[in-house]
Amino acid sequence: MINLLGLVVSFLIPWSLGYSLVMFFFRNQPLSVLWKVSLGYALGMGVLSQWMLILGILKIPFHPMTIGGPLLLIQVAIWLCLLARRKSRSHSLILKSQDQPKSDFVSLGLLIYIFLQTYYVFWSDLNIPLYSWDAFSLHFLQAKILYYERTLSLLPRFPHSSYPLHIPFILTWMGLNSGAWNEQWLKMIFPVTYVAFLLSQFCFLKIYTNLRWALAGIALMCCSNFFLYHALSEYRDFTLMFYASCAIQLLLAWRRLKSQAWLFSAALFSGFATFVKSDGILYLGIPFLIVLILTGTMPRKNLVEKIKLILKFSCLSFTVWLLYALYQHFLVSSSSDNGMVRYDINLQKIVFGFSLENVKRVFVVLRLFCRDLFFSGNWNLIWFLFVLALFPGINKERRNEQRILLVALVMMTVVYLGGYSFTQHFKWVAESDSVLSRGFLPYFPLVVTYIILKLAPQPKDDQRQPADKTV
Amino acid sequence: MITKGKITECVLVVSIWLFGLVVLCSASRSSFFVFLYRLPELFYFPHVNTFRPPRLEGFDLFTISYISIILCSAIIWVKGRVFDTEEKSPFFKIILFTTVVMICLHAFVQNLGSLRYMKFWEATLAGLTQQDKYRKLYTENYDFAMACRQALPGRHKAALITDMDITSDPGMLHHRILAYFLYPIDIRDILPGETDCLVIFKKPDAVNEVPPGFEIVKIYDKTSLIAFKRLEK
Repeated sequence: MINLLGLVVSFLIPWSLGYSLVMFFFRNQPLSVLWKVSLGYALGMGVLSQWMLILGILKIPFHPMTIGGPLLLIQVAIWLCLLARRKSRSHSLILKSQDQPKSDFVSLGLLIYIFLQTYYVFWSDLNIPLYSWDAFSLHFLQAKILYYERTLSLLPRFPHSSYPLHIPFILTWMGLNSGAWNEQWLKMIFPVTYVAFLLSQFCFLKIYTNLRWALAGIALMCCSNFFLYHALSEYRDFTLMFYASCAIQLLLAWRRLKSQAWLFSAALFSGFATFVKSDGILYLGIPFLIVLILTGTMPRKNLVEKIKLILKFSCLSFTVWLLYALYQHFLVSSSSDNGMVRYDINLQKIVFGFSLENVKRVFVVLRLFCRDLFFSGNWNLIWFLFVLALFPGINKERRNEQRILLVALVMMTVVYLGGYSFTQHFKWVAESDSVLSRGFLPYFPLVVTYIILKLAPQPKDDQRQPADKTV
Repeated sequence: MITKGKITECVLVVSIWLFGLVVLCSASRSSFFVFLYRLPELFYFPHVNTFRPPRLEGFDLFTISYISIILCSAIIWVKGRVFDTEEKSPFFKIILFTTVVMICLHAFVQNLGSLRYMKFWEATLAGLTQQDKYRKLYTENYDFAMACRQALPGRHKAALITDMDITSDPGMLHHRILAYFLYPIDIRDILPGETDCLVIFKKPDAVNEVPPGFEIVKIYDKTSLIAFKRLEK
């Protein structure tokens, strides 16, 4: 019998930890409650899964006390620090919108639409049982093993043992707190992640636009079948999307609002993305290159300061990635247990082939890309709208942000184009239609962000100093 | 701002799109109203981690949407210039507007589709407990797994004997589902140590598959059972 209170606690502890971390990072930059809640959720879950990895490496059994106890202590320590450094300026406790609409039926209509989509996501998750291939074969099974065994020692024997463990760890944590293994309730993680993600997107778009355009951006995302499907299905791609796209948006916020808290958050998000899926390494590399571009174009910083910023980002983000990567490496090299240990890295081996035949594949893959983006039932007409928004002359403001978003999207496209064309993974797109769209999902919110930044007019109160603004 | 002109343009977009569907139905000799009823399901068709493109008789409905966008935009642009009205938006802004209207139209049809999808699941799973839902969806994979776990509680390393082809679908999926629900009876070689039980699933005569040294714990049906290794005296 599941303990519902325990299930709620399993959300509250990491969420409150993340909230306190956000309060600590952004102690000099007032943030709205919605921002803190949405960023706090992602940060908290990321820290939780990293802590569980550390426990696993140290061979400490998984138990609500061993996992949650230290996290609670960290929160207490953070709050004590914050109280000790209490500023005279009080933080805003309500969302301050830049321009309050008087009576805005369009915003109301958008809000109703978003609410209906959210209701659908929750209803599906609470009523339809576990059904996805990846869930049975991969992360739910891994989580169940961790729930029963309470240790990471069997990792080399796991199916797909080289895959990152963020989702299995979160599910294990929830299972331990709720006292029983009940997939239906554990699936709550997915719609809650969806809500937190929508909040983060709303808050980010509000930095650049007003309430109506921010809601329009959320509604655009929600009218993509594939986006909504992954919000309610048990795949890891939605969580990867959360960390990957938010990392880029946090870097944009850093560029605009200057506080290094945004840089630290982006670094953590980039690192956490590597622990959700193996593709996550791509979504660490791209933000890193963007940090290089942003610091390179900073006019008021000298070389030493720029290098310090790059090191701050890379040390934090690569440390998160390296923790699991090194653990896997030492696990493999030390496992000579009479041949009993099995390490499945077959899917990770990438075999490159640069031949004329493979060059021809580029056109095949491009055609498949176009078919998926413009003629499938996945994306509505969002990508077509994006292509229209690429044309110059609509809105020349926020040009730098648009360029950065384009750089990220182009880099992602080039990597996937090359990866599918010149490696053995060509078969995944040529013979199956269930893989290609998942490659576009992590940066899909950036496409919508680009559209909104291009089409939305500049808010009127943009003359205020960014650092003083409550965002 | 929502003006009378904008509403007219929205109606024009929808009308041209519907007209395109009528033409398509006529060409394929299908009933337009039957097709209209099926339309939401075409626009919301989850299939193996993707959504099938909406097609009618092999013809891509998105093509009609794109043609409608361009046609509408052209009409509105020409109307603005020929009839010398106040609104003389550049062609590019017009095409943006018609695209957004088409997105809204698609979203509306998709939502009707997802509503139907919801109703389907509601009808399929209404009144069932969680266990009943699994039993209904996964039949023997779930039922057999639960029977085994009840008959043999605790952790066990099992060998699976089956006639299913577990190297490709659908056998592979059935195997994964069975392995998931069976755990902590492990049939995927996760637990270390020696095998202490046999899971026989989908063999024509399961009892005859039990080798010496194993004792039958639970017979599920003629094709499936679980057996435990006899302890050596």
